[in-house]
Order: sequence, then structure tokens, then C-alpha cells
Amino acid sequence: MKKILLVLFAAAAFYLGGAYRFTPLLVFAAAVVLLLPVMFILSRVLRKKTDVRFARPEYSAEKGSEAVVSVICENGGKLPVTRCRADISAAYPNSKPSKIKFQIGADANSEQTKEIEIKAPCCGLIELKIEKLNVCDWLNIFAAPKKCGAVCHAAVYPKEQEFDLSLAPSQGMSGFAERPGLRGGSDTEIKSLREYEHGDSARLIHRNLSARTGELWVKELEKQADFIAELYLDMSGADNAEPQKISLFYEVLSALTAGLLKNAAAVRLFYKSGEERRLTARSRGDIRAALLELYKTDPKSFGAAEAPSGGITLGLDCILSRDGKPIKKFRSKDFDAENGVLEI
Amino acid sequence: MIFIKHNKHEKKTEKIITSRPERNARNNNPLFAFLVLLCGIFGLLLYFASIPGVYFEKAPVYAAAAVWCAAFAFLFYRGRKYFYIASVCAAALVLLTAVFCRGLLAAQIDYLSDALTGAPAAEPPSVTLLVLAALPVISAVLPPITAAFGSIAPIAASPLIIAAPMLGAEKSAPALLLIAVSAVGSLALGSKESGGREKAAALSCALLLVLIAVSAAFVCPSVDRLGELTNAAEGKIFRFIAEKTGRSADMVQGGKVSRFNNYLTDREQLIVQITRYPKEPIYLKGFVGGDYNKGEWEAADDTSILNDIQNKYQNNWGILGITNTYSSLFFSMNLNTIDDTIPYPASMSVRYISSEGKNYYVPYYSRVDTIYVYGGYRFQYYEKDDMRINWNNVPRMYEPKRDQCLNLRAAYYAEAKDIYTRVPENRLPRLRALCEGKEFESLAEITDFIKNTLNERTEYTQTPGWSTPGGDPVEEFLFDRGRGYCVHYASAAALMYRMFGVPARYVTGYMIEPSDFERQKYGTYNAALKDKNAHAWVEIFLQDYGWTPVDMTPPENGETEGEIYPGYSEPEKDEPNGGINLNINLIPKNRGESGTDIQENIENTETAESEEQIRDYAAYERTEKPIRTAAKIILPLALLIAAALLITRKIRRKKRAGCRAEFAYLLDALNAAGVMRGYDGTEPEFCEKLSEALPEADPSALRRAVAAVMTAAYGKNPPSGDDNAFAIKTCRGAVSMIRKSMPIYKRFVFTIKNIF
Repeated sequence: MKKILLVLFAAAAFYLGGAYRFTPLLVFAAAVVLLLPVMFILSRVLRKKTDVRFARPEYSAEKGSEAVVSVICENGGKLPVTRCRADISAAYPNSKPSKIKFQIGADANSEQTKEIEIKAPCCGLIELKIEKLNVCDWLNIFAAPKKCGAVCHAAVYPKEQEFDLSLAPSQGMSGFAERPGLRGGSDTEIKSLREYEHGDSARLIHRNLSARTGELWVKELEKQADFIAELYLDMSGADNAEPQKISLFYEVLSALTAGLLKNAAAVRLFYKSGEERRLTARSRGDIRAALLELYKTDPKSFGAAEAPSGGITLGLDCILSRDGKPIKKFRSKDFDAENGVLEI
Repeated sequence: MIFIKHNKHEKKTEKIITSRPERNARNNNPLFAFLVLLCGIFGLLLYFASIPGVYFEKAPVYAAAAVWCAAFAFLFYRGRKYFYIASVCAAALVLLTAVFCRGLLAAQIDYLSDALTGAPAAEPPSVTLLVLAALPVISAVLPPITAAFGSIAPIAASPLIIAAPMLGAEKSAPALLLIAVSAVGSLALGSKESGGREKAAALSCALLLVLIAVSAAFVCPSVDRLGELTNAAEGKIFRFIAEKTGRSADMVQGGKVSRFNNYLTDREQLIVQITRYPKEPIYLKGFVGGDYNKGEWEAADDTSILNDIQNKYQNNWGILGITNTYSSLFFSMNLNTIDDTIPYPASMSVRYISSEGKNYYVPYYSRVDTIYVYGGYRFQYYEKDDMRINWNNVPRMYEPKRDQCLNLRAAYYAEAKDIYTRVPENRLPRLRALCEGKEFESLAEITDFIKNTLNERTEYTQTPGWSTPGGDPVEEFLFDRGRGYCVHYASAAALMYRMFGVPARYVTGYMIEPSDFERQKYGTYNAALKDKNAHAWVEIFLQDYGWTPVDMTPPENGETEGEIYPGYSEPEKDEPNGGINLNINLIPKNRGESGTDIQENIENTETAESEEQIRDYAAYERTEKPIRTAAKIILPLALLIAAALLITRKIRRKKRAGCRAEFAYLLDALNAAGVMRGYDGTEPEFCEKLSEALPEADPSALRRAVAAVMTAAYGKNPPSGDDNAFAIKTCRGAVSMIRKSMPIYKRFVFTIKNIF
């Protein structure tokens, strides 16, 4: 648009300048005519030493919160770059990318950082990409396109919540490597006592002590080093699933694993990505690492991990089952409500 | 409508990526911004001062400009809160000034309006107060506007730069330079990114200056050549348009002194047939100019002069009447003069080619013979060399007629002497100064002076370039451009004759050179007149010739060799007035000096009337005209801005509201069509009713669209992008169907209603 306006101005100035024999106007018309190629060349010169990239390759956020991604404009030239226009896209797998036009500039021989916000409505991996980059001249008349394939990822994790699992010793979980009694009580060694915190299981409340002191105290049980829970994942169809569906799956998986970790020293997650694979989580940090590993796996390669007899399987449709029999179906709308004692 | 409530959070939930405002966004350096602003304001002031007729006291105005600029620039970039307070204070100050000095301000607006509309006074009054009052407003408005819209500065500066020659701002080069630098600086500073803006702006300004210097080095020596280039292009366009629109066949127009170039199309316009090969060029007059005003000659009104004479003398003018008697007076006297050397009058017929009857072309010293012969008319005429009137040597039986003609001539001259010596001197200050103080003893001396002045000051060309719309084309021709063609030469000569008290009139018509005639089979001579024959000249009143052409236009390839009136070549015998005292004032004419007793009675009453008219006109020019002029500019501008804002707001709202806006539009359309009145979309049976109302529409599509709109309005989460797009598309399609079914007037009302 500016180019057209400038050309129109030059044409009008030249015509009127010639018609009125008005020298200043003719001079202006000529100056504008010269200005156009100069600015065109300038945009090409500025392009050479300018680059735009993400500050880090990976970012993380919790579902529902915002991740701040830094974008850096690096100008290695001696002339300032007032404006680089970048088309940045952000997309979950299997979803339409959301795009913004982003503008940034940098003084001579310097870097300039600007931030973009990523809103994370679903769990999963958001891929951010600088799709198009244009370096503009100072008057923003011409924009020189530049190749730029900068990519970064923002991993969106579920909120830290856990299911309160109630595992009947009689039934147990055949997936467990060993099956000690999990109800607490005399057969489980108490490691320590502490004040009640939100989310603690009601079963672990030390009733006698609480009654005596008037405050809630909970028991921290000693976990057995060899006590490992196993969970089999059926992620077939992940390549066509909507981000919301996958997000729910990851939320359930995260809460389930966290719940299991309260009762076991570790949780082994078995999944199929071409071949049978497994991930082991020993802490909450490990859960996120495991999730990230799943996020990064190509959804097309996912399949169903084969569970042994009595093994617990979590499907992509959020159905927890044993030996093909559904135990529990998790739904998005009552996920919070379901966060009570889960009998399995 | 409650249903279409705007959800403020909609955008946030839809878009997962947004640009984050810079936490420590760097503001412009106030010093640099101040310099850019100061450049712009000083440029504006210089520009303003270079417009002819605009004058203000430089020292206080420039000092005030610097102070206001500094204050507002620093406050805007360093103390935004105080900036608004200062703006309000400045507005209050301007308002108080407007209230307390309204008389002076109104007068200054009046002067300014005169100056801008091309009626500058000889000694322009100062508009200092007006400029001082405008300064704080401009200084307060510019920083926020340029900060918000960097591109607005060059967009606003472009018309100013382009309008400079039209306003006659000849010496505005420094002003234009400052304005351009300020515009480029603002454009570079306006970039919202913080990457070395000041450095880039400074470099851009420097680059612009270098480019201007380089351009000036190439352009200045070749302005005329570049001008010719534009003329060539303009000429081609003009000829093309003239050919396509058929205007090339139009004949010589009225008394407007052209401000543009003259392009010839070489199209035949008139056929002239004569019975005798001419010895000298023949002038056919079409338009005769009386009063001159703002670059235009009004048509001379001889009829009213002759009617006045008839009323006064109650003479018996015979069957011809006074008008026809007068028009053929000199022809008849020449015809009845007893002189064997006078040949029998020649005959001329004039025939139109296309635009019949638009103008009436008459040769000098002629008498109408027949009207409407072969699509034209015929005259008997004498050439100038054949005019040898001897008032004392006529047949006895013609003597009473001769006496009547003598009286008529004297009475006519007495009237014409005042009418055709009127010059709007206050509008032609430079021409008045040129003629002032010159004393000549004869008409030949006056003619010599005019001829020499034109020769020295001007150069003949068909493409002199344009003259400013507000300026006087004759003054610009003589004093500024020094280039022009016949209309400019004739106008300048007529005005100069009048300045010296010689009755003179501007005439346009055709000039036919003898070489333009071709001998025909039956001994007649034909000339096909093209636009190259169109011409303008001046005529003066001589006692034995009446109105006589004086051609001051030089030939294209030589010095002035125009047609000069009889007797000019022999100045020592120059007695054009003969036995009648033509009462030519050979010094600049003093207004109010009447010539004859006949005049005085009329003059006294007419002067009183005209003075009253002048007073009324002056009052109109002082009060109503500036207001009307301002209103003409401001109102459309305000309307345009309001419309643009309205449309932008509407588009933005619609975009934000998504499918709900389209659905609201659909409901409006249903209401306008008188279908489903009272429905707002929440009714369970809405989809069903809508499907009934729109049988062409797909019911399932309508249901899906309505469901998406419901989700958008009441749902916890907005509808998906696809659903939203689908709903928009469906609603638009439905509206289109409804519109088609509406009667035209309802559709029109609905469209207008929707715009607002």
C-alpha cells in the first residue's frame, strides 16, 4: 500500500510540478523515485545480518495457564533493523494452527527480545514455528523475505492432581511386581507423621493422634523399594484423536500415575510405539518426563501395549480396564468429581 | 439484543498464541521526537508564510511554536498524565482567546480566506493572532497522532506538498523540505518496535536530504524539459479525450482566461467562404469581453448601452433600430462615402460544421446580409485597408443619416469610455504598479509601451504550464511565468489599455490568414477553420473604424508583428479621434471622473447603487464567505472521518462477535422482511420456523448454525473455528435469501439501516 501511495505521490508531484513549472515539486518527485530503489536495497542489506529465533527450544506450562515464549531478533549488522515481521504459528498435533503476525526489531549489533504468550487449553505438545520472516526497511516500504525455520515446543502438562486409589489386597493389581497390603495399618511401617495437607488420603489420617491434638495428622508410610506398579497404555488411534481427547487421556494418566506413586516406589508405563516400550516414574518429575516422552512420540506409531492377565490398561478413550473388562470410564466434565477414592 | 452479547474473553479462548506487550517498552527519545515535531511545525509555518497574501509576525510566532512544541513533546513522552492536563489548559486558552478576541480573529479568518481563495490584498493584513491561537492545538494534537499512526505524517504531508504550486507558494522550498524531513522522521519513529528507532529515523532523514540534493542537481537545470514532458503526456491525454467526447469540434469558448495549456486537435470547426481573396488576415469575433474579474471576462453588453442611448434621445432609428444601425454604422458610412477607390464590399458566408449555433462569428466592418444560409449566415464586409470613411463626403440624401450616425457614435463612445476602461485594480496590484506614473501623449505611445512590455516580459508558447487557481492568470503571465498564448496577450493588453484610460475589449474568435483560403470552382474562396485558427485579441475604439482589432500576440517564431490599428505606423499623424474628442486620459485613469454630460445623470444613480452593492458584497465576503468556505471544507471532512470511524468500529465489533453478529444481522433481516417478528433465536421452535421461512435453505445447516450461535452466546466454551465459520456462512446465505425476497424499497431501507 505504501509503495502504491508513494508511486502515486511521485506521479502527482511530477505532473503538477511539470504543469506549474514548480521546481521543488519536481525535485520531490525525483527524490521519491530514488527513495524507492534505495529502500528496496536497504531491506535486502538488512536481511543479510538479521535473524529471528526462539530463545529456547523447549518450554513448559500447566494446562489452563500461560507459557511465555521469548523470541529474539539478532542483528549482526551496523544498521538498525526497526521492523521484522514474522508469522508465528502454534499448533497441537492434529489441530489447525493458530497464527499471529509478530513484529520485532533490533538496534545495530544487538539483540532484542520480545515475548509471546501461549495459552494452553489442552495437554500435549504445542509446536511453535516461525513460518515466514520479512525484514523491512526503515520506512516500512519494502519487506525482504528471509528463510527461517525456527521451531520450538511448549509442553503442556496436566495440573498436579492424583487419584486416591484404594487397592483391595484380596484383588490387588496383578500388574504389581509384588503385592503387599496397601490398606495401611499394622502391617505397613510408618515412616513419619505430619500435618494434613490438601489432597492427602483420608485413609492415612492418624485418627488417634488427630483426636488427641485437635488437628489432622497423617501417616507417611515407608514404601518398599521393590514395590513397582505397572500400567499398560492403549494409545491406538492417537493420530486421529482431537487434542481435547488426548488431553483428557494425559490428565487421567498423570493423576493415575501420581496416585499409584503414593502407594508404590515406582510406576512402570508400558506403551507401544512401533515396538513395546516402557517408562518408569519414581517421582512427580518423572511423570512429566514420561509424559514429555509420550508427547514427543509420533502419534501415528502408537498402538496398544499388551497387558498380561490381570494387568490394568488405560485406553485413549480414558477407560481403565482389567482383562478387557472396564473398571472405570473417566469423563472430562466430572474429572474433578471423580478425584475421590478410586476403588481398583 | 441480549442474545448477541459480546463475550470479552472470546478472543482469548480462541487464539492460543498472542503477542505479549513489552514490559519495558522503550519510549521515543523526547529530544528526537521534539526535533521531528519542531521541523514539522516550522515547516508548516514557513509554508503558510509563503502563500501570497498571508502575513504574520515571524518572531513571536516562531518563539511560541518552539515553546509549545518543546512542552508538548516532553510531556507526551515523559509525563503522559501532565500532557493531557496541559492539552486541556491549551484548549481553554485557545477558547478564551477566541471568546475575547473574536472580532479580531474573525477578521483574520476573513483575510486568510481571501488569501487562500485567491483574492490577496495588496498589503496583506497580519494573521498573527490566528496563527498563535492555532499553534497550541497543532502542537498538542501532533505527538499522539504521529505516535499512534506513524504513517499519518507522510499521508498528511503529501497533499500539502502537492498543493504548494496551486496555492502559489512559490518560495515554499525550505518549508517543503522541513515538512518532508518531519514526515519521514515520524514515519521511522512511528514503528512500534524498539530496534534503534531514533537512529533509523535520523538516518532516514539524512538519506532523504541526500536524495533531494541529488535530485535537485539533476532536476533544476532541466525543469523546462521536464515540463515539456508532462505537457506532451497531458496533450496526448487531452486530444484522446477530446476526440472521444467530440469536444474537439467545439468552437471558441467564452471569456475565461485559460490557466492551462492549449492543445490543438486539428479538427475542422467552421467553413468560411468569401467572394474576394483577402489582402490581410480576417478577424471573426465571437466573444467580446466587458468587465474583467478573477481571470474571467464577462460578456460585453452593448445592447444595454444602446438601449440607454435610445431611451435618452428618443431618436427615430428607422426600421433597423438602434442596435442594427450601430452594428453596421461604419460599414454603411464606408459604403456611402463618395470615393472611387473604395471597392464594392466583399461577401462572406460562415457555416458551422458540427456544433451549430453555439457562437455567432462576425467580421469587422460588416453588415449582416442573410441569416441561416446553408447552415450558417452571410455578411458583406470591408477589409481594414478598404475603410476610407469621409464623414463630409457623402451623398446629400444620406446626410441626415450621417448626422444620426455621428450622434450615435458620440453617444456610444461616451458610454463605452467608462464601461470599457474599468479595471479591478485592487486585484491587479502588480499590473497597476507597472502602469502607474507612466505618462504618454498619444495612443501610439501607449501601444508601444504595451507592445514593448509584452515583448520584454513574455514569451509565446501554447504550453506555458498551469497558473495557480487562486492567482490572477494575467498577473502570473506578466510577472511570474512570462509565458503564454493569445488569451494571455490579449487580456494583458486590454487591461493595460484600460489602465491608461483607452476603451479596450478582449475578443475571442478566429483569425484567418489569406493563405488559409483556397480558390473554388466558381471563383469563391473557402477556408476550413480549425482550432489552430482560434485566436484572442484586443480591440480599441477608433473614430473612423469603430471597434478595431489590435493583435498583440507575437508569431510563434518571431517577435511581435501583430495587426496594428490604422494610423499606428505613423505616430506623428496619430489623431484617431478625428473631429470628435474621444477624451482619452493618457495618464492612469482616476475613478469617478466622468466624461460627458450624458453620462453624469446615469452615473450618479448607478454609482450609488453600485456602491451599495459593493458594500453588501464586502459584508458578505467578510462574514458569510469564510464561514461557508470553512463549512464546505470542514463538514465533508468531518463526515468522512465520522463515516470511517463508524465503519471501522462496526467491522471491529463484527469481527469480535463472530457468528453472533451475523446471526443478529439475520434476525434484523427477518424483522425487516416482516417474517418471524419477535423471535430472538432462543425459542425451541426457532430452527423449524426459520426452515419454513426459508424453504431454499438446508434445515440441518440452519440447525447447526443456530447451535453454534447458542454455544457462542451461552456456552462455557466458544464454538470451534469450523462451527463459527459455518454459522457465519449459513447466516450470510440466509440473509441473502431474505434480501432477495424483499421488495426493493424494503431492501434499500434495510441496507441503509444496516450501514448505520
